[in-house]
Amino acid sequence: MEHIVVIVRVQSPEGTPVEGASVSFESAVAVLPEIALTTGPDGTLEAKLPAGLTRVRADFSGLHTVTDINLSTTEDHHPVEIMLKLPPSP
Amino acid sequence: MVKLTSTSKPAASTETTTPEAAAQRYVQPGKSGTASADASRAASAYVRVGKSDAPIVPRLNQGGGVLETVIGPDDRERILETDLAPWRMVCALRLVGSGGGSAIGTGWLAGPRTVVTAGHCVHDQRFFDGWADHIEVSPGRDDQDFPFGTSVATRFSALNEWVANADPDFDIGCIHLEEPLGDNVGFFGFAALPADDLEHHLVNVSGYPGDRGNGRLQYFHANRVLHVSDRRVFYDIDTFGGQSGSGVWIKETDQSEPIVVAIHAYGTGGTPFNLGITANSAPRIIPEVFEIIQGWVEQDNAGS
Repeated sequence: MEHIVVIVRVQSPEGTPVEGASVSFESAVAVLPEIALTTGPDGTLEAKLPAGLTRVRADFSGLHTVTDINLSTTEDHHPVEIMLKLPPSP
Repeated sequence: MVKLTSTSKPAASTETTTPEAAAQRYVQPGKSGTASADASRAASAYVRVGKSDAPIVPRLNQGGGVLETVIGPDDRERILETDLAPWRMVCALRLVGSGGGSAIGTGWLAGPRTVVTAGHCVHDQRFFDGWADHIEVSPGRDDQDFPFGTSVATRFSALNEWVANADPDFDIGCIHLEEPLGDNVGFFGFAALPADDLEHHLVNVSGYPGDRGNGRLQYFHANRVLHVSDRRVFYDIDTFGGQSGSGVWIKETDQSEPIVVAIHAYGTGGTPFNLGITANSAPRIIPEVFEIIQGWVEQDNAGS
């Protein structure tokens, strides 16, 4: 199965990097384990994910945001960047 | 036919289950440890015992599709008494890859120096480029409270079928501790039970999810087994990323100790469509896996 290198970037509502956010993945086309990766000091993390429809969710301090992305190989094989911006606190 | 062995980091056997072996019960008892023997009120209130003809929480497939692991309403309960048994035998894990990337997971003490978890918590090409570099193990963590401290481990093992093929049916691994944390904390019993014994059993799962407390708080849920295959057990228990590696445990009677029968690893996306159920799942402790876990515990007890 083809895997795509992704870089997930988690930002606060103000656009600053969020360190320690939990990021989980679910794929519509492949079996992924129930692991949660955590972002580093620059608010990013890297993973290799199977091509196809993938849900990416970031959680931090009770806030969360979700995006669905159809992962496919880029022409230049560069990593796919996924930006997740947390919503403001209610 | 699959031959299962343990593979260790950087490098450390059994036969495929025969019908005769699959029909037998293999049980290794646990121990409550030397820490407080106070009874947990949460255990009395939440832990489910025995079998049931009906689910505790009736569930319908509420349209979450394959991308959900909390099935319908979220029924997880936070555990506050994490310094009491059995909750203290559940460990919050911080996994660090060789490239510096990190993740959260869950493990459970199976012996004084042995924590069993999901295979992908110790070895995963997608997330760690192979073996984890080190793992921080915190039994019974509750936010910033570490009632039994944190042990940093660098020695890991996993089933060979996980390391070589990332086969979800064999997603089981082990963290070898330097310190005998389990002497004080206690450890779960574990068992390979025949499929008939697991059908309709009420099962309990407690772990450290990423969506509530970022892997720092322990959450619990229980429900009925929906389906048992040769190598997996399926249930509609609410879980989330970070709870991988949690023990899926049963209590056969009110008086009996908790016994782990499977290791939680997959959300609903890991359940084959042809089963026609919305369920999360765990690789079972089958007889060969039971022997391997026993071997891990014996190896750690011998101090090797």
